[in-house]
Amino acid sequence: MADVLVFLVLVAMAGLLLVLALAAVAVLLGGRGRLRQRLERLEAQVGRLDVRLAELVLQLQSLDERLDGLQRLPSHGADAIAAEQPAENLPKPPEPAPANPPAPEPQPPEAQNTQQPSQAEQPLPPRGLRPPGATPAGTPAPPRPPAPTKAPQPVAAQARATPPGTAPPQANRPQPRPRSRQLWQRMERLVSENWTGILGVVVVVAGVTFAAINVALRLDAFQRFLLTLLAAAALSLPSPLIGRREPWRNLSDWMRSGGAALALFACTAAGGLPQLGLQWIHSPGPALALVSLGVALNLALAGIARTEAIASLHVVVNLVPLLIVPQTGLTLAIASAVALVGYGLPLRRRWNRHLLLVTWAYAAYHASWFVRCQELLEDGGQLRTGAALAAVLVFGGGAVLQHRVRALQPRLEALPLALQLSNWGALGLALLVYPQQAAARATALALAAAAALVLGLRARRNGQGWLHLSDVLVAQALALAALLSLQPLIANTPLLLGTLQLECLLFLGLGVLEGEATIRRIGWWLTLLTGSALALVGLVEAVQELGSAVQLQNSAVLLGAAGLGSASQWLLRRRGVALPLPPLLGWVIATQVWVGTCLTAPEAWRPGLTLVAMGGLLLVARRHQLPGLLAGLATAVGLAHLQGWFWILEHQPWQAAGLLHHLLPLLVLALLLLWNRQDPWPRRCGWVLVQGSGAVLILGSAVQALQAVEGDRLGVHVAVLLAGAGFAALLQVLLERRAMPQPWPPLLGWMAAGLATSGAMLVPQQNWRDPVALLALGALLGLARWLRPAGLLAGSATAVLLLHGWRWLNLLLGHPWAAEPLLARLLPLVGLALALIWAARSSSLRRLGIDLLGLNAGLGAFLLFDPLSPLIPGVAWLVLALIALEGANRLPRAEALHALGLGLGYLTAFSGSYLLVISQSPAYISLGPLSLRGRLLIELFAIAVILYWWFFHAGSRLAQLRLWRSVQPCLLEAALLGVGLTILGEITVLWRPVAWSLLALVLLSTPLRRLFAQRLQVYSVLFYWLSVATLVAMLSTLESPSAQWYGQPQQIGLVAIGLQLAYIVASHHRLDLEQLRQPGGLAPLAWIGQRVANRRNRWLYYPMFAAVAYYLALRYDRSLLTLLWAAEAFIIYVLSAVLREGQFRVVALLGLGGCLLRLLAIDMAQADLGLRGLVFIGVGLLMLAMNAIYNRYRSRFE
Amino acid sequence: MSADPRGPGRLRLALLALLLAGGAVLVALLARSRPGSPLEASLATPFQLLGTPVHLVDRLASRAIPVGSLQERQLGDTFRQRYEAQLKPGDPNQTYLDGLMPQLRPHARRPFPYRAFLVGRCGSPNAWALPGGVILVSQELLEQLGSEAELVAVLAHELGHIELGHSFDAVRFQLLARRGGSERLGQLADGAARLLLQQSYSKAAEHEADDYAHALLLNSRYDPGALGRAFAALNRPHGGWDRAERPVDPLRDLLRSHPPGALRQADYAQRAAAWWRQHPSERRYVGTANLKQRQPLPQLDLAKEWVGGAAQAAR
Repeated sequence: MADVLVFLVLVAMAGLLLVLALAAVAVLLGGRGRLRQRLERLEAQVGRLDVRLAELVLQLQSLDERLDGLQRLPSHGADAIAAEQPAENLPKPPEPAPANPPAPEPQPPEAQNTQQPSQAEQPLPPRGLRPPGATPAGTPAPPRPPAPTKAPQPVAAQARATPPGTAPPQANRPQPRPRSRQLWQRMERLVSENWTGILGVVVVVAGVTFAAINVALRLDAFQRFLLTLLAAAALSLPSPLIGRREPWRNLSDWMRSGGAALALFACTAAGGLPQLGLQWIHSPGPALALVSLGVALNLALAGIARTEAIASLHVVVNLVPLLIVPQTGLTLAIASAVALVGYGLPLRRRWNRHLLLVTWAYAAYHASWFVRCQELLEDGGQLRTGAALAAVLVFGGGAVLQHRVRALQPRLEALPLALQLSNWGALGLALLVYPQQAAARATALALAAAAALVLGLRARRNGQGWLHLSDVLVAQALALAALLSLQPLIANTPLLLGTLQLECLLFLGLGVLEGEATIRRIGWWLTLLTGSALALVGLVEAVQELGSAVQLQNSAVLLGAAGLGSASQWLLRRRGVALPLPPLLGWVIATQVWVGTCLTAPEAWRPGLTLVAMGGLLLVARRHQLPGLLAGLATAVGLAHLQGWFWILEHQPWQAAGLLHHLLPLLVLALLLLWNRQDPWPRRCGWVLVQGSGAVLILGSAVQALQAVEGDRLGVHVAVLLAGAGFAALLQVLLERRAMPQPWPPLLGWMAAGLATSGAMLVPQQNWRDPVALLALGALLGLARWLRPAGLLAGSATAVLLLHGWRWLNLLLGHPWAAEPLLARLLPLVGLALALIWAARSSSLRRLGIDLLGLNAGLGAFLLFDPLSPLIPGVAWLVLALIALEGANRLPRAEALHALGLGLGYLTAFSGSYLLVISQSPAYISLGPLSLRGRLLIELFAIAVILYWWFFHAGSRLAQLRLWRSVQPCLLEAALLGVGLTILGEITVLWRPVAWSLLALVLLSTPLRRLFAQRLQVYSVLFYWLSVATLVAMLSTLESPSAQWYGQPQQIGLVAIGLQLAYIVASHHRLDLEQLRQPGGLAPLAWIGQRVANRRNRWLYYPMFAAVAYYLALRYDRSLLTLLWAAEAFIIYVLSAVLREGQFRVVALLGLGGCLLRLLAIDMAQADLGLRGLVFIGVGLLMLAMNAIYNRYRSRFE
Repeated sequence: MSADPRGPGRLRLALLALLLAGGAVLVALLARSRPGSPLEASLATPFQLLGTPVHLVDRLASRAIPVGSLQERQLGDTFRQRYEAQLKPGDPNQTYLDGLMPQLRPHARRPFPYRAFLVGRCGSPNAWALPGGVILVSQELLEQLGSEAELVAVLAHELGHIELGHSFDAVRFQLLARRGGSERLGQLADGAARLLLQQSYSKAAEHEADDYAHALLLNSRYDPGALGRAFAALNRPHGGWDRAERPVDPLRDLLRSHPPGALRQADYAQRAAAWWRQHPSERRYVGTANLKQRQPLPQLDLAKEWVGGAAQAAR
C-alpha cells in the first residue's frame, strides 16, 4: 500500500506540475501578446517623447540664438559669459549664426498642434519647425554628428545632431523598426527573462513523470486495474458535481465519457491484453462478462448522451474490445446487438452522422470477424446463416430505417446518401460471401434487389426522389450481382454477357418508361458496357481457338446481340429518345459483327461470311442512317484487311493462287468503300486500305530480303512488286483524270517508287542489284525532273536515301576496309547524291542531296582513318566541321541550314568519339624532345575549332538562320565545357582545385570578358564555387605518399586557398555587378548573376565559410571543434564589420549559439578537464572579443 | 573577325587556313605514331570522371559519421589477431611480405601498424585491404606477378585503399552501431571482413588507389613501370584484352566496379614511360629474382635488377 500511496502522491505531483507548466505556458503565450502590446505602447511613448524632446531642444536653441543676438547688440561682455558655459552641457550653437533672424513664417499644422509655443516665443518660432523649402540663404551648415566612439550620448546630444535650420522636427520622428528586428530583440529578452524558468519546470516534470512510471511498474495487475478504474471514476466525478452548471457542462460530459471509455479499456485489458500488464482474469467467461459490463455502461451513457458525438463515441468504442477478444458467434451477436442498440438510440432524433459511424464501425467489425472466423465458417453452415441474418438485421434494418417517416428528407444530403449506400453495399457483400450455393446466393441477391426496387418505388410515391433513385440503382446493382453469381451454372461466358446486355436493355427500357433521365443514362451506359464486354470476351474466345461448335455458338450469340442492338437502336431513334453519344452503340454493334465473323469456323467460310454480314449491315446503315454504324463498319472492314494482310505476310514466299484468293476479296471490299462519293469517311478508308495493301507487299518483300531467301524463290515477289508499281501508277492516273478526291495524292507516286525499289532490291543476282537500282532510281529521277508526277520525285529521293542507308550499313558491317574497295563503294553513292542535287533543282530535296553528300564525307573519314588510328576520325570530323561552316556561309539560306547542321553533326560526332575513344587513350606523341599526350593535342585543337565557330562572323544568309542564332551563343559554353573536360582528364584530382581557381581568376579578367562575353564572370563565380567544393573534398578525403610538395594535399590546398582568397579580393574590384545582373546567354546565368550581384558578399563568402567549417569538422580533433568553429564565427563577425554585411553578424551569432550548445551538450560530457577548460576559455575570450568589437565599431554594425 | 560584307575577312581566312593546316598536321602526326586506344569504344573513362565527384561527396558524407581512426585502429587490431593466428610459422612467403612492408610504411600517413598477410589459395590472383592497416594477399598473386616491384605496386594499391579510407568507409555504419553496444567487436570484424572481401569499390576509388600506388612507386626505389606490368599480369588469367572483342556497352561501363584492366595497364605504362623519358639518369629496381627467391630488396640487392635510362623509356 505504501507503493500505492507513493504512486498516488507522485501522480498528483506530476499532475500538479503539469498543470503548472501548462499554466505557465498559457501565461507566457497569453503574456507574450500582452507584453508585445505593452512594448509597442512603450515604444510609441518613447517615440513621442523623442519628438517632444527634439522640439524642446530646438526651442532652447532658438532661445540661445536670441539670447546671443541680444547680448551682441549692447556689448560683447556676454561672450565671456557664454564662453564660461561648459560646452558639453549646452546644445552646440549653429555656426555661423545668422545676423538677422528671418521673419516668422506660418507653421505647419502638425507643429501647431504639437508645439503650442508661449506668448514670448511666438514672434520667433524655432527654425526647426519651418518647412525645408523655407530655409533662408544664410542658414548655417548642420553640425557634424557626434563621434560614435564616445560614451552614450544624452538625448540632448542626439538632438544636437539634427540640423536646426534645415530639418523639420518630423524628420526626427523615429521610423518604425522592421518586424524581424523587433522579433530578434524580443527573443533575446525572452530567452534571458523567461525561458530558463520554463525549461526548468519542464525538466522537473519530466523527472517526476519518469519516477511515477518507475513506481507504477512495481504494482501487480489487479492493483493497476483498480487504479485505472479509480482514475476513470475520478474523471467521471465532475459530471454529477458540477455538470449541471452551464460553463462546466461540456467539459464534464467529455470527462465522463473519457472515464467510461477508460473503464471499458480496463475491463478489456483485465481479461485479454497481457501486454498492458492489467490482465488478472484468465478464463474467457468472466472476462467476457466483465467486458459486457463495460459495454453496458457505455451503452447506458450513450443513451443519456446529450450530443451526437458522445453517443457515437460510446457505441463505437464498445466494438473495440469485441474486436480484441477471440471471435465466436457470440461476439458477433453482441456486436450486432450493440449496433442495433446504437441504431435505436437516436430514434427521436435525426442523427445521421451517428448512424453512419455506427454502420461503418459495425461493417469494419463484421469484416474483421469474417476474416478471422474463416475456419469456423467453413465448418458451420448455421454460423453462416446466423452471420448473414445478423447482416440482414443490421444493414437491412439500417436501410429500411431510412424510409421511416421521421427520417424522410426531401432533399439529397451527403450523410443520408452515404448511410443508405453503406447499408446496401454491406448487405450486398454479406449476401455475396455467406451463401455457399450459387442458386442461394443469386436468390438472396435477387430478393434483395426486389426489396430495393419495391422500396424505391415506394419512395417515389412518397416524393422522395433521391431515395427512389438510390434504391433503384441499388436494385440494378444487386440484380447484376445476382446474374453474375449465376456464372457457375452457365458455362458460356458470352451467353451470360448476352443475358446481362438484355437485362441492361430492360433497365434502359424502365428508364425510358418512367421518364427518369438518370436511370435512362445509366441503362444506356450499362448496355454499352455489357455489349463491349461481350465483344471483348468474344475476341478472347476467338484467340483461344475453341472447338468449331463453340465458336459457331459464340458467333451466333454475337451476331444475335448485334441484331438486338441494331433493333434497339432503330427503336430508340424512332422514339426520339435523347441519349448521350448515340454513335457509340453503332460502334459496339460493328465490333460485335467483326468479332462474330472472326469466330466463324471453318476458316474458309470467313471471307464469304464477312462479305455478306458486313456488306448487308453496310447497306442497312446507309439506308436508315443509324448513328455510328457506318463508321464502325468501315473500321471493321479495315480490321478484316488487317487480318488478311497478316495472312499474306505469314504465307511467304507467295504462291500466285493463294495470294489472289486472299488479296482480291479485300481489294473488292476496299474498292466498295472507295467508290462512294457521298460519305468521305468510307472513301478515305478504302483509299487507305489500297495503300495499305501496297505497303504490305513491300513489307513482305523486305522481310524476305532480310531473311535471305534464295533468289529463285522470289520470282513471284519481283513480278508482284513490279506489277504493283504499274497498278499504282495506273490507279494514280485514273484517279487524277476522274478527279476523285484523295486524302494525299502524292502517296501513290511514293508507292510506285517504293514498289519499284523493292523489286530492284530483290533481283536475284547480287552483281546486278546495284546497277539495276541505280538505273531504276536514275530513271525515276529523270522522269521526276521532266514530267513531275505527284510524289514521284519525293518517292525517288526517299529511295535514294534508303539505298544510302543500305550501303552504309554494308560498309559499316564490313569495316575495316582497305582504301581502294572503300572508294569503289563510296563513289557511286557520292554520284547518286550529286544526281539528286541535280534533279531536285531548287526544291527542298536538294538539301537532302547535300545531307547525303556530307554524310558520305563523314562516314568516309571514319572508314578511311580508323584503321590507321582510332584517334584520327575525331580530328577529321573537326576539320570537316570547319569546311561545313565555311560552306554554310556561302550557300543560299535553305541549303546553308543543312550545311550548318552537317557542321554541328561533325562536332557532335567528335564529341561521341571523344567520349568513347579519345578520352581513354593515354598515348603520348613525341615532337622531337617534347612528349605530349595525343589526347591533349586533340582537346586543344577541338577547343580552337569551337572558338573559331564562336568567333565566326556569319554572313547575312547564315546569320538569319534560327539554328545559327540559337547554337552560336552556346558555343562559348561548349568551349568552356571543353576546357573543363580537359582539366578533368589531364589534371590529377589533387591539382583540380588549383586549376578551377585559376580558371575562375582568368575568367574574371576584364580584357578576356571584353573579348568573349560578359557572362564569363558568372562562370568565374561557378568555377570558384567548384574550386571550393573540390578543395573541401580533396583536403578531407585524399592522402598522398608523395614526398614532393606538389604531391601533398596540404600544400596544394594552401595554393588553392590562396588563389580563392585572391579571387575574393579580385572580385571586389573586377566583378561588374551591373553586367552580372544581365550577363546574356542561358537563362539560368541571369538568375545566378542577379542573385550574386544582389548579395555578392554572401555568395562568395558563404561557400568559403561552409567549406572551412566542414573542413575543420573533418580534419581536426573533435574535442577542439567547438573552439575552431567559434574562431571561425569570430572571423565572420569581424568580416561583418569590415564589409558592413549585417547578415554575416547574424550568421556569426547563430554559429556562436551552436557552439554554445555543443559546448553544453557534447564538450561537457566528452572532453577532459584540461581540454574542456581550454575550449571554454577560448570560446569565452572570443565572445569577449566580439563584444569589444561590437562596442568599438558599433556604427558599422547598425 | 572582321565584318566585311563583300566577303570573308582575310583574318578569318587566315585563321581557317591555320586551323585546317593544324588539323592536317595533327592527322599526320597521329597517322605517323598511330596511337591506339586500349579498348575499341568504352564509356568507362567518362563514367569514371563523372563518378569522381559523386564518389567524393559520398565519402564526405560518410566521413561525417562520428567514428574515426581510433575505432579503425581497434578494428584493425582485431583483424590482425585473427590473421596472425592463421599464419604458419616460418612460411617464406609471409616472411617475404613482412620484409617488404617496412619499405611501404614510411609513405603512410595514418597511424596504423601495416602488415600484409598471406591467406593461401583463393582461386585467382588478388589482394584485399581491410581497415586498420591489414592487407591480404592470395598465394596466386605471388605466383602470377613477375617481379618484386610489381608486388610492391599491388601492395601500394591496397595501402592506398586504406590510406584513402575506402575500406573503412564501408564499415563506418557498423562501427557506429557498435557504439550502442548492440554488437561485439569480434562479430563486427567477422561481418566487416565478409563484406569487404565480397564487395568491390567504385571505379573512382580504384582509380584513386591506382594513382596512390603510382605516386608511391615514384617516391620509392622501384621501377614505376611495375604498376602497368602488374595490371598486365592480373589481366593475363582473363585472356588479356583485345580491342575487337569489346563492343560498346554503356550499362556495363556504368556498373563495373573497376576500371577496365586494359585501360589501367595502358595508362600507367604510358605514365611510367613518360616519367622515364623525363628522368633518363634515374635507376630503379625491378627485383625479378627477389620475388623468385622470396628475398626482399634490403636483403638481396642485385645489380642486374637495377634498370634505367633509355632502355626503360623505349620499353
